[in-house]
Amino acid sequence: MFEATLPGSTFQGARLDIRRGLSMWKGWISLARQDVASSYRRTALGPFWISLQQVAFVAGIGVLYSQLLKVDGRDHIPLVAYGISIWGLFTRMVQSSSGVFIDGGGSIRSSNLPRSFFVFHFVARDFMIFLNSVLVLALIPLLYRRTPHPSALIAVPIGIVCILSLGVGFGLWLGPLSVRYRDVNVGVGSLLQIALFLTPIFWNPKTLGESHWAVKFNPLGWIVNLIREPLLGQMIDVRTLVLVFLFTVVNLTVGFVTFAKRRLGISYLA
Amino acid sequence: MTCSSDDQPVKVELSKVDVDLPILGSHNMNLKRRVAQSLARKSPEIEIVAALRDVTLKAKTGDRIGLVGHNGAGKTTLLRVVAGILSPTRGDVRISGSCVSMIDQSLGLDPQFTGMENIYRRGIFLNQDKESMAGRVEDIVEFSGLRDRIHHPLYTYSSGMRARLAFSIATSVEPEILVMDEGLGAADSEFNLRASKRFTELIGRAGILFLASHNRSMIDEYCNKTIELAGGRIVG
Repeated sequence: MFEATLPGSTFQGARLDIRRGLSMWKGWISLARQDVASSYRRTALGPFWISLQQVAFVAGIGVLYSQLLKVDGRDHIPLVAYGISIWGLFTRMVQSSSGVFIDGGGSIRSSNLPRSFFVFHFVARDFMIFLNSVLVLALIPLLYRRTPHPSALIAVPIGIVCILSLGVGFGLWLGPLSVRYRDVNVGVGSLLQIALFLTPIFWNPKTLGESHWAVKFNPLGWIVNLIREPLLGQMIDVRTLVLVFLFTVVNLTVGFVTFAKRRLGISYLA
Repeated sequence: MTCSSDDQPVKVELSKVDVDLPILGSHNMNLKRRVAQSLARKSPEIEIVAALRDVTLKAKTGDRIGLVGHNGAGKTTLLRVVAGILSPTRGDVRISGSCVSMIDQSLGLDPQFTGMENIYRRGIFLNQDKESMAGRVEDIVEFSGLRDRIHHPLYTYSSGMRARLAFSIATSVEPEILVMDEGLGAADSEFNLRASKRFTELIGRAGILFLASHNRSMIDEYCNKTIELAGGRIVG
């Protein structure tokens, strides 16, 4: 098969690549900073556009769905607001991960930076965009009198670290795959759109029941619930925490193995 | 492949290197064709270009190697291998020393940013941190001759101005191995004169130079060895 004609890679090489990529953190962080700044260059509102977009979205969807589902808007709007923020970080990162070695085609082909550098770069960039957007979430507990549960102090950081690790993992396997099979990049976009409606973002998983497949077997739902439930005032769910953790570890493992196998082929295909 | 900057002497060694470049064109990306092929149980045929064949070379400190050959002879592919961008399909590559590749002069430059911001951007791609770039900024701005325009976005620059900036940044770092594809870009003659002086100084400090060019006089001026490529093989 054609893959056989690409240079074979090793685990050791992949480990070295990732270590070198990590050690250049100053580089990818400042590139990410510039990228975020450049997308709002010459706009009057700057990064507040994300916040504004989010407020509009939550107001629209939150109000409509609370009427549609016949639930109290004061319960529903915080649910949607937290849900869509977490979802936003996750999907943006999955989408970037599948395009990481395609979009950077020019620089991938002519730069000898470690390939993992480009993965860390998009994770940092997407996280910065997320940080811009979460500022408005601080208003939720004030406006709707929903005091977060103290366990949110654990759940939120752990959840975010897991999402960032998922981004790295996806970048390491979806990235090299979609540089070879360009259908992957397009397919991922479509899948994410469907997943948005199958994941408890606009609706409360409790109304569907915890044992429904869309709640029980949906890793994206686990991630959203892990972070969102403590923010809405419930105790962190240890079972969800374990599931998210396992999902992250499996994803990183798949990422590392795929990356080790396909890393050297990237500059042939980018 | 190894690419390290330990205390070992600077060297580049290629032995029996082959590079096969796949051509993933539109015909094998076509889903209809793919389905038809898989129904017929045929694996999709993918055209392979033999970009390099059986290339063996050794370079040590002081070697200034000029690569010559017609278009498509494999010069740029060889440069990409030497710079550690492309791992060979077969064969062995050993590189020790920090490598800077000037294969793509505009690497990392973004038209949305000012010239000044782009200096730091390019620095990242040259594996230089902010502090070490900050120490070079003055020299880069001075040499590029862009003066106050350095604070304007790159998209307002003429192609000559861009070339001057790209050249000034790329030649501000001190690599142990310098890899260049064609020399100087679209700058004017006054700049070219200064540029060739700066270039001579730079390659004087670099351990090893690989320069691919169609310009024989340039090769003769800067290089002390020549490698001629044809059809991916070394022919002289």
